[in-house]
Order: sequence, then C-alpha cells, then structure tokens
Amino acid sequence: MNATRQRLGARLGARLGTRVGARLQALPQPRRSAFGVGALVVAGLSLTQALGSLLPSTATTEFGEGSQRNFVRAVSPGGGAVPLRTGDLAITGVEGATTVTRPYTYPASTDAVFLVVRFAWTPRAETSTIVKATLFDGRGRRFTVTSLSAGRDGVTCLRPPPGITADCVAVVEVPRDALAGSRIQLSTNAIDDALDDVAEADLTDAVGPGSLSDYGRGRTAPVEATYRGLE
Amino acid sequence: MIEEPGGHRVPTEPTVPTEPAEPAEPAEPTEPTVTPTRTGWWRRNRLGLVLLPVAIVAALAGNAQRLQTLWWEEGLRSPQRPDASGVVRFVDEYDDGHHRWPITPALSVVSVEPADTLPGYQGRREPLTLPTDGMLWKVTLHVEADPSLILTGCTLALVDAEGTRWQSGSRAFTSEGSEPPSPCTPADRPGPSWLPGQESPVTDEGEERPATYDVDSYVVTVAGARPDEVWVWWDRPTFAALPVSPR
Repeated sequence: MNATRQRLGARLGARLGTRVGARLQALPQPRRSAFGVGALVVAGLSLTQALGSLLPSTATTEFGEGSQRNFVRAVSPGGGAVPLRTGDLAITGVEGATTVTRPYTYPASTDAVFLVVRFAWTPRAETSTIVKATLFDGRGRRFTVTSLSAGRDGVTCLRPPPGITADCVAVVEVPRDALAGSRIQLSTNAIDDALDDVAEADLTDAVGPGSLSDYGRGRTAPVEATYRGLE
Repeated sequence: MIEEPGGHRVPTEPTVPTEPAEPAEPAEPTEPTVTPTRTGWWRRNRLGLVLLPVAIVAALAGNAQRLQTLWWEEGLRSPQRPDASGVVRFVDEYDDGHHRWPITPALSVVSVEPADTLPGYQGRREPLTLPTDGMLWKVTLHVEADPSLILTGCTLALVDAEGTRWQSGSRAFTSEGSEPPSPCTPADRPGPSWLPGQESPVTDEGEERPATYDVDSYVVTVAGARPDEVWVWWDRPTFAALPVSPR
C-alpha cells in the first residue's frame, strides 16, 4: 500500500507539482475498518429511507401535526381508486354549483360556490365510511366539513358492508378565491385521524383553468348518497 | 496533545508536512502498537448495545396509542367458543358506570343460508334489490336465557377466514320488507330494557321474552363470500364465535 501511495504521489507530484504530491502522500491511509464503517453508513441510510416510506406524510393536514401526521394517499379525480387503511376510495367527479339539493330538504343556495366532490368508497375488512372532508386552498386556508354538517355543506356517505361500494358526496362551500390551487382530503375519522390514512386529491385540473369567477355559477347539484346499483 | 502544567491536555494543530528541501524517501508511518479488534468494539459499546433494544421497544410503545384505542378498547379480541354441543355459554357484563347487569345467554347457530326476501307486513315475504356485487344471508340463532336478562343491543356478524366482517343491520338494499330490530331477541317480545333515568329494568306489557326461542337476522355480504363463523357481541371486546355449520 505504501509503495503504491509513493508511486502515485510521485506521479502526481511530477504532474501537479511537488507540494501537491507531498500533501497527497500525507493524507490518512484508509484502513479496512474504514470500509466497514462506510458500509454501515450506507446500510443505515438505506434503512432510514425504507423507514421513511413507512412514516406519516409531511403534507399539512387538518389534524395531526408533527409526529401525529397522517399518511396522505394521492388520488386523481376520474382516476383509479387509492387504497386507504380500511377501504378503497376513488374520486368520480368534481363540479361547482351555487345551489345544492338533498332529498326531503329545501335547496340551499350561496353567493359563493359549492365545490361538489363525488367519490366511491368500498370498505375492506369491516364496515366503515368517509366522514370528513377538508379543502385546502392555495393561500393555506382550510375549509372542513363532516358528516354531522347539515343543510348547506357536509359529507354524505352511507356505511357499506365490506366489498360493497357506496357513492358519496362531499360538499364544501367556499369563497371563489379559494378555488385556485385547491386540494381536498377525505378521511374516515372526523375527530382524530392522526397516523391514519387520508386520501388527497389535487383539484387544480378538475376545477379547470377557466374563469373561476364563473365556476359553477347558476348550476344546481343534487346531493344524495347511495349504494352502487341501487340508484 | 500537549500537557499543561495543571494537568490539562490541549489539542495541538495538525502537523502539516513541510516541503522537503530535496527529494527524500518519505518516512514510514508509525503503525499503532495496538490495533482495534472486533471484540474491543463490542466491549466498548456494550452499554449502548444493551440499551438499544430497550430504546427501540420504548419508542414503539410510545407510538402505540392506536393499539390502545383501536384494538384493546374497541377491537373484538376475546372470543368465547362453543362446547361440544355447539353452544356458547356466553358470559359478559354490561357496565357503564351507572348501570350494570349480566349477559349470560346460551347461543347456538340453527342455520346460515342465502336469502332473497325479507320479512314484511303481516308475515308476507318481500323481495329486495341488492347493491352491485351484494348478496343476502339469513342467519337463525337459537337462544336460551333467563327472561329477566337484558339482551337488547347485541350485534351479529358473519366472518370469513380472512377476518372480513359483515354486520347485520346495514340496510344495504331497497325493499318493502325490513330487517328485524335485534339479532338476539324476538321482534315482538324483546324482554326487559334499562334506559337512562329508569330505576330498574322495565319490560313493556306483552313483550315478555320466552326462555328459549329462535331469531332471524339478515346480513348483506359481497357476492361469493364464504362465511366461516357467526359472531355475536353486546359489549366489546368479548364476543361469541359460532361456527356456521348448524348444530
């Protein structure tokens, strides 16, 4: 090893100058144990990366900051279903309206806009449902509705048996300036969804690049939850 | 290192080799007299190695509050299984801090079979429409219990080998018929109940429960489901686990 280092130093010294060659010769000589430490560091970094994929997402959510964050699962409007911890969720439609209608109630109208997100929920191992929707706008504001909301906006979803799909609706009443850059999160727990899965959909494309001041204006959206096949 | 008069050692600047006046054979670096060994590393770090698993367990326990709320308190984790005659001598107790009563019926499965109608008005059978991929099952339980026991408020489910659980009372259908109100008591004779504000259990006139009876309930599952067991429970985590095969 020393002879090799001397030869290398001499060559580099001739090419780069005697001073540089001398400094290279003076560098610490790597030992076999140093390679072992390097391998351990690489293994540790790989393990950390693997663990990182199992940890909650860093995206901002309604509840659960810091170590209590959610696992945010991205879902595309009109795309396939995303698996959450207790079931599969697919966004089937996004529309705007200024009036919403529900069975057996008076229509509700707004000077702002109702963002209507239709989705399908299919539980896996036991009965469960989606009970909370949180819309984040591009300015960092949050608009949260739950299944307990009544009248104007809220989450309307039945509790299907495992394997049966429910067609559900989340209605969030927001000012028009909240439409730009908005995203919506859907959750199975309205009180504490820390460390649990939430589905998140980017609504930028669904709301569209058109004039947001006219989005949904004059439209009426029916709001009703059903089981698929029982419409 | 340089030792000061007071005994403190202060680090010195690393030595930078000076430019040699003329090319000379570099000096051989001095090899350490004692080389670190694997045994030495294990010995030096033995305290950390002992504490490492303790720290891992503590970290996992500190983040395991979901086990407490979702499984220990809310999960069905304490099954009671049937004796040789296929009967579960169920033993549980309701206790909400104000009211407390025993729940000790003897439960067995009479039948579990696919169905396409529901009970309707005046004993008629009513057809129903199920959701896409849905299937209806009729479950008949045989119950033996002291008529003074409070047996309202139970839940029944069909469970397959993978643990998928379909509960009765989903109302995942459209029909003129309806599901019975309770999987554990006769619809018209549920026996006693104890509601908040009442000093003792009350049985409405004409609703005295018999000592033995069969009771039907209906469960919507996904088509092709192969339920292995019928689970019945009043208060989690205890439940009766009854094989689907009839007694």
